[in-house]
Amino acid sequence: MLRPSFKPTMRKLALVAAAYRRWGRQVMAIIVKEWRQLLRDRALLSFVIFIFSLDILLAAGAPGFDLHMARLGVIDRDHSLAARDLIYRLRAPYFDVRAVVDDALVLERLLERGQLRAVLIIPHGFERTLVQARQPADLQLVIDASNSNLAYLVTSYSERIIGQWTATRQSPVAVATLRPGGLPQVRLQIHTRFNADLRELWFSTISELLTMITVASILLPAAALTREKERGTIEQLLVSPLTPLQIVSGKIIAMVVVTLLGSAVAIGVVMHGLLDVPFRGQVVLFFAMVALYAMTCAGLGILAATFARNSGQVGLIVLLLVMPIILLSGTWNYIESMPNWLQVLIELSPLHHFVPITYGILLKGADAAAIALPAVKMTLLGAGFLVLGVARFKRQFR
Amino acid sequence: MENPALIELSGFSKRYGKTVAVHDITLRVERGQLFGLIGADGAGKSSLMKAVAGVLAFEEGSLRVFGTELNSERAAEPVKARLGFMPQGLGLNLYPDLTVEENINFFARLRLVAPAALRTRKEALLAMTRLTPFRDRAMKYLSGGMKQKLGLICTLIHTPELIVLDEPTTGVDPVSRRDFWLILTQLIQQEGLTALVSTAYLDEASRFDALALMHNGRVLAQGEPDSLSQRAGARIVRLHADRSALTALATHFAQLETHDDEARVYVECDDDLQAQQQVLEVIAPSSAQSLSVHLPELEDVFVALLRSLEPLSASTPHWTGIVEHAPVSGDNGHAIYAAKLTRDFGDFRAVDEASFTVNYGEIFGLLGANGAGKTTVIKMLTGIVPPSAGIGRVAGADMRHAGQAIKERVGYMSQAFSLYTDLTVKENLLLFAGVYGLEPPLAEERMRWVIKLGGLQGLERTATGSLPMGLRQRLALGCALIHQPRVLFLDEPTSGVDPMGRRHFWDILRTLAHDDGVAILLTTHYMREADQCDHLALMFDGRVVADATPAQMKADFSAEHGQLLEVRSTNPQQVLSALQAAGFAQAIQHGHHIHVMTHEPDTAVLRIRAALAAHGLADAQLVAQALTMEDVFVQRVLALESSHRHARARSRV
Amino acid sequence: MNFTRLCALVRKEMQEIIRDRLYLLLAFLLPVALLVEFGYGMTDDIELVNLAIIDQDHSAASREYAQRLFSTRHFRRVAAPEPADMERALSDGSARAVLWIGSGFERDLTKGRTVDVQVLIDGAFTGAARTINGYLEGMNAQINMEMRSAIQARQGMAAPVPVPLQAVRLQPRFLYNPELRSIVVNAPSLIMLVLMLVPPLLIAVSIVREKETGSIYNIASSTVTRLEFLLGKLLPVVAITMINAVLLWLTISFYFGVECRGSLLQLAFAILLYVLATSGLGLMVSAAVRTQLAAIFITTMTAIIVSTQFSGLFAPLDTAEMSNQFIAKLFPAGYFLPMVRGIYLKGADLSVFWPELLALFIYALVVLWIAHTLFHKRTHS
Repeated sequence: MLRPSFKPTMRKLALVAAAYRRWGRQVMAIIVKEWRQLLRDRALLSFVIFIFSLDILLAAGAPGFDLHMARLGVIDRDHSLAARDLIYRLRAPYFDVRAVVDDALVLERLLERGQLRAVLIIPHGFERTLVQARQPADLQLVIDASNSNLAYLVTSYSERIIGQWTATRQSPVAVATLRPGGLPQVRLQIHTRFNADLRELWFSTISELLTMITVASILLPAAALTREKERGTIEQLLVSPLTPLQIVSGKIIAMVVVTLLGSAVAIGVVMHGLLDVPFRGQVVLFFAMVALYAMTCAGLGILAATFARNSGQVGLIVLLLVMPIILLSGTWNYIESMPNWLQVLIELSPLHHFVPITYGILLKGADAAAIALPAVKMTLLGAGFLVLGVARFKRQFR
Repeated sequence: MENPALIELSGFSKRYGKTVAVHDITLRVERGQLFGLIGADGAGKSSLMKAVAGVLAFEEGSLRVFGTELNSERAAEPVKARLGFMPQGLGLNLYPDLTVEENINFFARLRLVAPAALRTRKEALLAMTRLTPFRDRAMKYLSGGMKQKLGLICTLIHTPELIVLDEPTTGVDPVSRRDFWLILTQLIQQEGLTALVSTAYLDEASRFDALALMHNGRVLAQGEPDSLSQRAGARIVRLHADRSALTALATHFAQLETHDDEARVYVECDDDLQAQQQVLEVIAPSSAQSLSVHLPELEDVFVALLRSLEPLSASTPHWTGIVEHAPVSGDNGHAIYAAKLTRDFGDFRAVDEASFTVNYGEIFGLLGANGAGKTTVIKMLTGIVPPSAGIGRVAGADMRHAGQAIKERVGYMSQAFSLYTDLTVKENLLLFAGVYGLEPPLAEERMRWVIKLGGLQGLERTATGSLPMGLRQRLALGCALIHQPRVLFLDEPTSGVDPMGRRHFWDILRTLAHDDGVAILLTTHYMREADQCDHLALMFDGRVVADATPAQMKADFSAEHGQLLEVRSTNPQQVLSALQAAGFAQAIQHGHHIHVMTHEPDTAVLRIRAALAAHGLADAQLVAQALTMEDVFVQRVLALESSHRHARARSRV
Repeated sequence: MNFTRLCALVRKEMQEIIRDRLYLLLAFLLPVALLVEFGYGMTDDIELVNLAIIDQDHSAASREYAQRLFSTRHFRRVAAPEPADMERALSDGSARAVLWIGSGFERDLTKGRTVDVQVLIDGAFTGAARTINGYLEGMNAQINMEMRSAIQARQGMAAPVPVPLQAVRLQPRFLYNPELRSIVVNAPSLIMLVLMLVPPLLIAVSIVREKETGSIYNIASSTVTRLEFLLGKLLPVVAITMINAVLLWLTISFYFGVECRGSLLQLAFAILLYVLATSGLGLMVSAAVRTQLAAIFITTMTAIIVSTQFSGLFAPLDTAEMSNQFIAKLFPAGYFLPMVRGIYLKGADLSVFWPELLALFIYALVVLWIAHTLFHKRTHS
């Protein structure tokens, strides 16, 4: 009984399937074209390979946030045993201690040129005050605060070292005067999760990869589309039965695959293979997210290209977009600490949503549920770019 | 000592990687000569000219310019002060955002022209090229012809002794081309310049003092234009005959042009009578009408030379697979329907109420000077540019909103070369096969068909950018045909293509239109091609000013202006001025010949003879000629231009 | 070298740039826009960083301890997770650190014991982790001090000799930026960053574009020397960038209120050398590649990599691996940053930086020379 109605439905389904296959074939033609053009441009191709391999390797040796051989000048006016003992404590790997002339002008020079990060002045009578233990023995630390992070580290490390040093030589007299049982104190037992030893290269390679993916997948489609506009090849595509959505999708998908391959090499070979950066989450989830991110960025690139008439313009527009995205999305700065208007704006940065996803999956082993919120936001953003991009693309030529 | 040649090449060869661009060329250009390099793009002309201009290194042989051996970058430098070079491409070497005057000033300062000298020279050149009113216009808003004239000014601003012009007239309409040549010859005479000029237009060849016919990096022949046609040892027999007679001729003579019932037969025979005899041996004398014998034109000679090198490929392959012949419904079966199409760019009206129709199976030619609005019409019809007003429909639908099905019926080949030059021939074809959604087996089949159609066998893996223009154009046509469209738009498809290539191209177009029922709309600057269209529309200043068959256009023109008289002379310039002095104001130079239109041929002949005799030019021949499309186009456009100027002048008052 | 020709080239470039309105707008808007965004966004001061506290003691002491932590603007309290979910709060990014105060906190403190508080810090962002760690320890020490001195004050009579709680007191003095404001630190870095990014890109497409259109033949077929042509490209960009530098300085000193302590003239001179070097880099790329796409991509990427990795922007270069320190020597940013910091913030005299100045000068000459060797008027194709 069902037969008569069943047949036409099947035929309809077959037709729909054929239409989809056709749609796919058309997009595929654009994708393959984009790949071939990339492969032909030797200079461009070499650089794309470079950013996903050697550049990531170089990022492993990037400057770190830990204090490492900071040049510390020491002026010892006390010439005592205690002073020498203290100076001895302030040594590598945190400090590179250098004796300096006790001359204000010379010191100024050295600090200005950045040859010294800080100067520790041990005043006359330091040991005496310390031994008497009636009042704290003062030490002066003059710090170059033109790099505040460094200034902060120099201060806290020297405080810690000096603290430890005093503890070891706490005079028995002083201890004896304390009530048995001592004074109460809160002691922080600090544990660092996900990167227990705070290895800088885990952070720096991941952040470099994020930067490279971001710039490449915004800039390449944008510049390629502008080139087609400049050369007039886009007209040939517009006259064809391709819809703007198909043209744009082709360009985006081509870029997504390049990004996936690039990040697979960067993560699989360079980071995981050579540098032992952990990969704690699900591989499939991560690369799915990379694809989604590349798609979002490429959509932004296409949107940017609709505003440009020539290559010079598109380069500047992309730079205007990309730099804030890279520097303000939370890898290098504290989103929480930014002014509110900027916190709202940065929601438009795809990288802002991708940073927690990447660090989450790679280092924290986050599962789909843990990254759901940023993933959804990123998807919405990508869809928005795509819709706007296609609409503007259409309007430009119609 | 012998007077040294200005340019002297011997055993000159140039390679790009493995491809040989120029092979073992020996050539001399004397001081004061206007020397022509004739051949298609890719024949090696550009490489040779760039080497002469000192901007291209070469591998073998010697090249001396002004007696200096150009064998290194350093050696080429001193020569550059004395020469001017204009590379190929319509105004591509100029700066689009700069005005006419700023462009000139830039070139002048670059060439260290003293300010006072610059002022006088600039004014003189601007006046001569009639660009003075446009001096403050940005270069990008100039028409193609004006761009080339500006390019010429920029090349000449420092009064060089030698100028090297690479295809200065390619893509320029016949009227502007004529204008360009007039200015160039005038300057050469005034300043004693030596010029090395290349062109793909063989009808321009007779203007040169000496020329070299180039093909595939070799010189096929060189010498003076007339001696080349004479040395060929051949005759052209023109006649009217019926279809069967024409078919018979085609089987006997390899080089034959037919149009309707008219034939031009190239007979390899050095004698008028014998040539006629040879033709009449093939067909019955009774079936041949109005038979005449002529000396071959350079184009005929060139084609004959090329033919001896590579025989014409076999007949054009037809559509493969099942072709849907039934025309699409709507617009009364018109393939293209334009009604009052209008387009404004800001204040500028590019197209002004253009109306015409094109039927399936028809080749429709859209003619007009550069900037007349032809390309904009095509862009509106194909849906790339929205019209400001009016209707444009293709296959019954507005292309802007047309669905996939309609778009699949349309093919388009744009003027701005539309292929991806960094992809190979096959990759370009694959791209467009995919874009049109062809299934892989069908795509493969069509690709073979296009490759055969375009004679691109063996080049499948060649990068498109390194192909000669002629082959590129065929590939571009192939890409536009891969989905077997029912309506085809071709914007200047044969610019810069050699005569053989053009003939081949037209064979394809005719087969497509007449046998497969494809509607073709094309634009061209070759009036010989215009003659082969089924229908023509002439555009001027954005409007369609004439719309008829080529024969009708000629007939209308004849009715208005009378009979065409051709004056042949070795000194056309003097003849022209003599005739103009005698009151033949519209006398026009065509190559070596002067054309005069008259309603009373008999009295005119007498007046002309008298005028010529008075100037001591009695040796000139006087022949009554059939009108060509070129005559019609040039005269019409010139008349329109002058009335347009008057109208504007009046409106200003 | 002929000045008429050079002027003609420069004038032509200027005219072209001025006619391309969008390009012109971007060329001047971009640097200031970047500066303003970074000026607000790139803060290393930690402010309102998410911190979760699990208080199992529910006592007055534990509440007071927590409250003390949030009394500064450094931390913002976020909802405390269940103790079992401590790590979850870190892995989903809802908190950067979690503090766990166990039961018995108040009891042990009143008994004068040492009480342990567990802290988990998200170590994925190493820089942030270190800073948060430092802040927490610092604040904890402060709280302990106050608590102990309060107790000592109460027991003052009981103790025979008042013993200082601290044997050694470190008195830090912050030079050049006593309030440790981020913008002060960032201002010179941003000059370095922006002038590394923009000029190479402005110049990168210029030669390639002429190669693509064919107008390069005007140059090749004339007597213009290669050096004149390259300088003709370089000088307009240097001029635009110097105007940009003035705009940057105006924005920094009047909008952000960070004034230059050194001589403006000396600063301008240092910037000029730096800009010559960075735009020379763009010129070099432009002379080397064939397509505009490649030119844009390579310059943008190089500029970004150099300015973020090899300049000392985020952390001083001497903390990097030797190989990276060596690579940093190959780019101008690393020479310029200490110089601009020195002049702008420390009021140093330019003479202090003669090695850097010399390096930049040589650098500019070398890139120009490389561009000169890569660019030919008579080519093979």
